[in-house]
Amino acid sequence: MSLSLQFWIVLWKIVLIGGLILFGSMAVWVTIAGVFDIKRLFQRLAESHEKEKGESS
Amino acid sequence: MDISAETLVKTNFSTVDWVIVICYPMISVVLGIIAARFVSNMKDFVTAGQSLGTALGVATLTGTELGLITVMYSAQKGFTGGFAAFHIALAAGIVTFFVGATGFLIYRLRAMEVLTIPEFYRRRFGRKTQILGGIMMAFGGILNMGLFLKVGSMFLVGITGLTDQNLPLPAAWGLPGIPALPAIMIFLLSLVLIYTCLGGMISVVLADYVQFVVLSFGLLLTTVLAIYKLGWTNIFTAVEQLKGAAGFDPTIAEGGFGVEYIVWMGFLGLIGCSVWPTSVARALAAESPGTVKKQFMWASVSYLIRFLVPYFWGICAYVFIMTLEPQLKELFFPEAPGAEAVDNLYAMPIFLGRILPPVIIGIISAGMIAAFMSTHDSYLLCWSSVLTQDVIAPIFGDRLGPKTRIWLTRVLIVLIGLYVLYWGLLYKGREDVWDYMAVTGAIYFTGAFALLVGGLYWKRASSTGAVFALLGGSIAVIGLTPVQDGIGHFFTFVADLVPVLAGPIMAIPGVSADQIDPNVLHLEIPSARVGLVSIATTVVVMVAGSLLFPDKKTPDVAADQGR
Repeated sequence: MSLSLQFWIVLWKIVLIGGLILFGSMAVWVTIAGVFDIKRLFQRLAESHEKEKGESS
Repeated sequence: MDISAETLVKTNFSTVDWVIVICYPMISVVLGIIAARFVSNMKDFVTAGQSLGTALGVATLTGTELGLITVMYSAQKGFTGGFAAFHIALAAGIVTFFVGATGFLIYRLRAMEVLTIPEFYRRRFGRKTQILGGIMMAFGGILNMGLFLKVGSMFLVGITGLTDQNLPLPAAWGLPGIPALPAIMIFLLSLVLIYTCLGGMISVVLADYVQFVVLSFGLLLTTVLAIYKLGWTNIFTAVEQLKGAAGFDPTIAEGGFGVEYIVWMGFLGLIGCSVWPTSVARALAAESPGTVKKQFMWASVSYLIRFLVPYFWGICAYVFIMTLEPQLKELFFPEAPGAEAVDNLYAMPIFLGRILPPVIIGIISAGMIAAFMSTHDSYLLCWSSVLTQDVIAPIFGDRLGPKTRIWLTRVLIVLIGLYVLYWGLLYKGREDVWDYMAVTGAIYFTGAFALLVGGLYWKRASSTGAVFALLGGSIAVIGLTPVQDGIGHFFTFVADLVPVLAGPIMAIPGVSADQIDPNVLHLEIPSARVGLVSIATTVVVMVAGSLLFPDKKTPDVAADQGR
């Protein structure tokens, strides 16, 4: 049994609007939290290089 | 200038937008130069020292998977399939969330601390499987990215109104000019090669973050402007009038989808996040297995949106062309007999070129170029590091030092880049770009799926079964239209040579006689069917090979770490 055309239209409207709202919220979070992650990434890389240098000397 | 050229040239793209588009990619080049200072070994180069936090992981996963190629092929699918194409996005989002929530495959892989999937093959199935797996992965993957450069460049050509134009060369050269498409292909490829070679995964991650920020807000803004221009209700009404129920209901096979296609898309959604090497590379670069799960649950929203929004743009382009622009309608759907239609990949960029205002159009285009670059860098890095780490290094008995490996990876990045340029200009297939991508990807991922599931969850999976599964995946190549054409020519040749075989050949599923010349045979099998048959084949041969030829020695089941 195939679903009615109206069902599909409503479903795709909900998916589109819901998806855009979810993505917008996530984009704000990732933009802010990503800056802190980048700082941490460089700190870790610098620490690991210092450690490597210490071990080789 | 003829009427068609005049119609295609119309755009809001201005000089300011050109400045934005040219300057923006330089940010990535600068990031590559900065990142190069932090690269001291292969782990830094390939996985950014396995130090990615959740937010940066989501940004880089989105940055890689939301490439310009994705935007282009998805818009094409929306243009041809209407809202029914949304099922692909929904399947991708749901399946990615499932993978994040359960940790299916990715959690155990990250727990093993491998750098690449073939490295897992080695630890689980041995060196031969690693080398064969690396070759199959690189073959399928490099073929898969063969159209990236061309399709990405088509976006820039379409949105700037350069379609069918020649770019001028210095007068002293005495040449008429270079066509816009190959010129832009060369320009973009050069930029990507420079910064990917310099900084490896660290520069990739930074570029992905910048791209995420610009593109995510750009996507939302463009969608709002498209709705404002065409009208929310009008978009749905127009699709209903022009495409009927097939424009909404994906189960209707006449619309280009059908139940078989939906099942294939569900599997592709699973593969796209948990087996596809560029996605798995992000999982392996995460700071912990727990972070991987969080990263994928968040990224499920991106996996939904990366298809959904471009489908919607493609649908809007279709409505725009069919209802508001009769000249464009004549170009894309010519009624004159024998007239050649303009490639429908150009529809979405031309639409954006008409509705977006100056400056915004420059920022969106720059974001798209960033998307193009972030996908290219990840794919180039992925396939080149697989060839270095999992094919060349094991062949040399792992005697290659870290510096040689990084150098070799950089050489391979350039070689793959040159191939992509060549293939983009050469390949002439009839299928939608998305279906081309699915089929070429299947050469690798159908075998890889069987190996990963078997290797991580089934103790009796053997190296012989693994080799069978890897080789079994190569039958997916039959899904490509030029290969089907070649097989059709071969069948015609055989039937001409030995007429008694004509009957049995005609009985093969998908084989039919040409309507004009019945002596010429065609093979036409839907790509979804080829893909599903490939999966079934790899799973069957994996199980049969493992049961018939079990390993004598217990492998290094470090996979147990994740249990």
